[in-house]
Amino acid sequence: MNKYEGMFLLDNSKVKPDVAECVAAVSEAITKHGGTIVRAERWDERKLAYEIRKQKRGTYVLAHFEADPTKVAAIRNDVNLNENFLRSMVIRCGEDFPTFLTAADYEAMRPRREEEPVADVVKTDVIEEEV
Amino acid sequence: MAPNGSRAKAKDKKKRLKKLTERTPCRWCKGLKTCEEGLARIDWKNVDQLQRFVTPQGKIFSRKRSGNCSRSQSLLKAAVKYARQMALMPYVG
Ligand SMILES: [Zn+2]
Repeated sequence: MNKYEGMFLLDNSKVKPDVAECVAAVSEAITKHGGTIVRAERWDERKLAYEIRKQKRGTYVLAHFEADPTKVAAIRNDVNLNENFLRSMVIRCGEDFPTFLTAADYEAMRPRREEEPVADVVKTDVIEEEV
Repeated sequence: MAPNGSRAKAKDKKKRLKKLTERTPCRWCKGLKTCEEGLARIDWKNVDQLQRFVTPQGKIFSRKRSGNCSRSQSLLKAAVKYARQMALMPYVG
C-alpha cells in the first residue's frame, strides 16, 4: 500500500457541486479498487482556466488515500472513462501525506495583499488633508 | 596621479562587475541550511503562490527573472504544469 494524493475535477452539470455527492463519487472510484480513503473533501468550486467539454466551471475534490500500486492505473483509467470527471491527477506522496489544505486555507494564507492597499488609502487621505 | 587614478577606476569596474554577476540567493532556499525545507513549500495546488512566478499571460518566468535556483525552478516548472493540467492555470503558447 502506497500513499497517494489525488485531485479530481468533476462536471458540474452531472454532479451537484454543493452537495457531498461529489466526494462520494470520488471515494467510490477509489474504494472500488481496494483503496482506503484517509481524507477526502470538496476542495473548491471555481471557474476553470480554460473550457473542458464546454464546461466553464467545475468542482474540485482533493483526496488522500492509500492504494496498492498495481491498482492505481486502474483507478486512473476508471476515472478517465467516467463522464462525471473532467480531469484527475493522482500523485504518489513520499512517506507522509502533505498537510491537507483546501482552497479556502490557501486563501487564508495570503492576507498581506489586502492589508497594504488599506494603508495606502489612509496615507493619501492624510496628504489630501494637509494640502 | 594619472596611473593611480586609472588603477582605482579599474578596481571600481571590477567591483561593479562582481556585483552584477553575483546571484541573489534563491527565495526558496534563502536563510535555510538545507534546501529541502524550502523546496517542500512549492505546491502545485497553491495557485496564488505559482502566480507570482508567471507572467499575467501564464508563461513561466525565466530563472534570471525569478531568481530561482535550478532545483526550485525545475520543481516550480513541474508544479505549474500540474496546475495547467487541472485547469487551475491557463495553457499559453
Ligand atoms: Zn533555491
